[in-house]
Amino acid sequence: MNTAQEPAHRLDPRVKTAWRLQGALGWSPLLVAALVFLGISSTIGVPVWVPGAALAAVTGAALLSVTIAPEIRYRRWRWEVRDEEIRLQTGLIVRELTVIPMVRVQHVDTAQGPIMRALDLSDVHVWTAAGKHAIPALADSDASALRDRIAVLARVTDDGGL
Amino acid sequence: MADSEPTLPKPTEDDGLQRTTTMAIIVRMARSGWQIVGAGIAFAVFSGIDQGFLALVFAGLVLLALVGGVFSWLSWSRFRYGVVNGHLVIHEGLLVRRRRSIPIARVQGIDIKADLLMRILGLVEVTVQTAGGGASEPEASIVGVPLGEAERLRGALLHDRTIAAASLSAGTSAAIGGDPLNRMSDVRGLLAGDEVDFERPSFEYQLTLPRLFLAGATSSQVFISFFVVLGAAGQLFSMAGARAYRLTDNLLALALPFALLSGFAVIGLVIAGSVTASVIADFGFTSRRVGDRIETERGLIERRMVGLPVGRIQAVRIQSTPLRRLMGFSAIHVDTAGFGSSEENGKATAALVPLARRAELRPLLHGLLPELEEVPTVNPLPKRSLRRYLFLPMLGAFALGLPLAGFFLGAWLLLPLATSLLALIPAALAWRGAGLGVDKGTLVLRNGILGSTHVRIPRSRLQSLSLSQNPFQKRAGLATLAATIVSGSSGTTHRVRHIDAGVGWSLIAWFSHAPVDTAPSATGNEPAVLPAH
Repeated sequence: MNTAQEPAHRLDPRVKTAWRLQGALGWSPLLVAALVFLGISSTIGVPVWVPGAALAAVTGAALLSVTIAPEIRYRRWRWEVRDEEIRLQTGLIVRELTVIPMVRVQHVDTAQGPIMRALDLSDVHVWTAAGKHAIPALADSDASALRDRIAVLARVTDDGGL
Repeated sequence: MADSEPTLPKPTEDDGLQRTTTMAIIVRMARSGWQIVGAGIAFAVFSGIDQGFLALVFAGLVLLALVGGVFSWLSWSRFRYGVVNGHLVIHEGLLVRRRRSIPIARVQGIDIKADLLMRILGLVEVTVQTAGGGASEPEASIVGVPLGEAERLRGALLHDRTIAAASLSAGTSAAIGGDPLNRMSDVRGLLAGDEVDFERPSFEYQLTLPRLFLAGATSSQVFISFFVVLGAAGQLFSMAGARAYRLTDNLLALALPFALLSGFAVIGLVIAGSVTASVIADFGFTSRRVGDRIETERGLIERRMVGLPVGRIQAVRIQSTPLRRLMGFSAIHVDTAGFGSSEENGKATAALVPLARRAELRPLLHGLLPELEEVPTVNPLPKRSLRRYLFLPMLGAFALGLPLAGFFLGAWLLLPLATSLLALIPAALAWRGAGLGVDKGTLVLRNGILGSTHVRIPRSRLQSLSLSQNPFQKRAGLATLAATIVSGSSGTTHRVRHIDAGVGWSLIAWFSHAPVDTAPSATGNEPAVLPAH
C-alpha cells in the first residue's frame, strides 16, 4: 500500500513465534486426519494418489503457515495511535488499512492466551459500539501502557452525531 | 426542617404509584396461555369422548383456567407504576419482586402498541426505551393502559410534566369512552392522537391505499414465495411425472392442463396471501417528525406506534427490490443503534417510507429527516474496475461448468464457456450498480445487481473506515472500501468493491481527524481528488 500512509509501529517480533505455534497447533489435526486417510486408503479402496495429494496439500499449507506466512504478516502489520485516531494495517495477501476515530472508542482492554502468556505478550482490544479491533502481541508492559494511553485519549465526549 | 414537610404536595396514593385498569387482567390472562385452555375446553366438549372422562377433562381445564385467572389477577395487582420525582417507577413481580426506577432524562422514546384484544378493550401497551436499553436488558413495558392514560404518560416521560398534567383532565376519560367499533375503524393517527398537543408534528407522511397494495405486491417476500411455490411445484411434477408415464396418453392429455391450471392457482393464492399479510401489517402506515423524534405507526389488526429518537439513527438506506427499481419505486429505511431489535424482524432497522417514487424521496427526507437530506452525487466506478467485477464470477462459472462438461462429454465441451458468459451479465450489472459519493459530512455507498441499495452514512456515525487491496487490485490501482456502523447492539459493514484507489485514499484522509499530507497515490492512476460538493 501507499508507504506515505503507513502507520508507524510494528508488533513485537516475538509474535512470529506465537503465530508459528498457533499455525502448527491449528494444522496438526488436519495433518493427522490426512495421515489416517493415507493409512486406511488401501482398506477402503481409494487410489493412493488421492490421500497422497491431500497429505501434500495439507503439509504444504502447514509449512507455509509456520515459515513464510508469519514473516509476511509481521512485516505488514503496522499500528499507530494518534491523539484523534487509531490506524491499523494488516494483511497477508489482501492489505487493509483501518481508521478508528478516538471519539468512537468505547473501551480498551488487554487479553492474553496461553501461548501469548508463555511469551510475555498481550493483545490490546479496542472496542467501538460496532465491535472489536485488536492490536495483537505487544510486550506486556507496552500493551498495558498503550491500553492506558488509549483509555485516556478516548475520554473525549461524543461529538454529537446527527 | 421537619416543619416544612406538610407544605409539600402529597401524592394521592401512599407512594404515588398506580395500577393499570382491571381490564388489563383479561389481557394478562390471554397472554398466559388462557386461549389454549379455552381451545381445550372446546375440544373436550365437541369431540365425542365418553361422558365420565369428558367431565374429568372439563373440570381439570376449568381448574386450570381458574388458576390462570387468579395468577393473572395477582400479578396484575402487584404491578404498579407511576412517575415520581422525575423517575418512572415500576414495581412488579409475584414471587420475585422487582422495583425499577428509570430517570426520565434517560428515556429516549416511547412505543405504543395494541393487539386485537387490547384494541377491543381500548387498551394499549406502553414500552419505554432507555439510553442503554436494547438487546440484553429489555425496556420497561406497561401492559393494559387506557389510550388516554398512555398519552398522558407519554407526555410526562417525553416532555414537561406540567403540560402533561394539564392534558390529564381533558384526555383520559374521553379516550376510554366511545364504542369499540368506532375506535377500531379510526385507524389514522390512532395511537398518537392529539391528547398530547405539546408538540405538533412538523411533517407527516401517509402511505396511500394504492401504494400500500403496490408495496405488498412488489415486496421481496412475494418474489421469494413465488419461487418457493415454483420449486415445490417442480418437485411435485417430477414425482407425479414418474407415475404419469404409466398412464395412458389419453389420461395424461386430460390431466396436464388441469395440473397446470391448479399450479397457477396455487401460485396466485400464495402471492395473494403474501400481499394480504403485508397490507395488513402496513395498513395505515404513517410516519411523522415530531421534534427530535420520528414516529411511525402501522397495522390493521395489531396497531403499533414506534417513537424513534433521531439521535439513534446511524444510516439511511434507500432500497429497491428488482421489481420496484423497474417501476421507479424505492423504500426508505434507517439503521438504528440499540433500538427496536426486538420489534423489527430481529434487526435494528425501521422503515420510514415503505414505498415512494424516486422524485418524492428528497421532499420526504426533507420533512422526516432533514439531517440526512443532502445527497452527495454518486459517482460510478472507473471503467477498469469492470474487469475485476467480471473476473471472479466468470472464473467461478467456468469452474462450475467444467464438471458438467466432463459429465456430458462430446458436444457439451462448450458448456463451461457458456456458463461463464452467462455469469457476465449479473457481474456487469453489479459493476454498473456500484457507486460512491461523498461530501463534507456524508458518505454514500451504492450497490445492487437487479435491485439497488443506497446507504447514506453521516461521517459522525462511522465507527471505522477500512481500505483494502489484493494484489490484483493493487496492480490496477483499485481498492475496496468498508464502512462500519452500529446496527442494533453490534455493528454492520457496508462495502463498495473495486473503487479507484486514489479516491479511496482521499476518503481515508476525509475520515481522518488529523489528516496526514495526502501524498499522490503510489499507483498514480488518477489524482486523489474527491468529487467536491
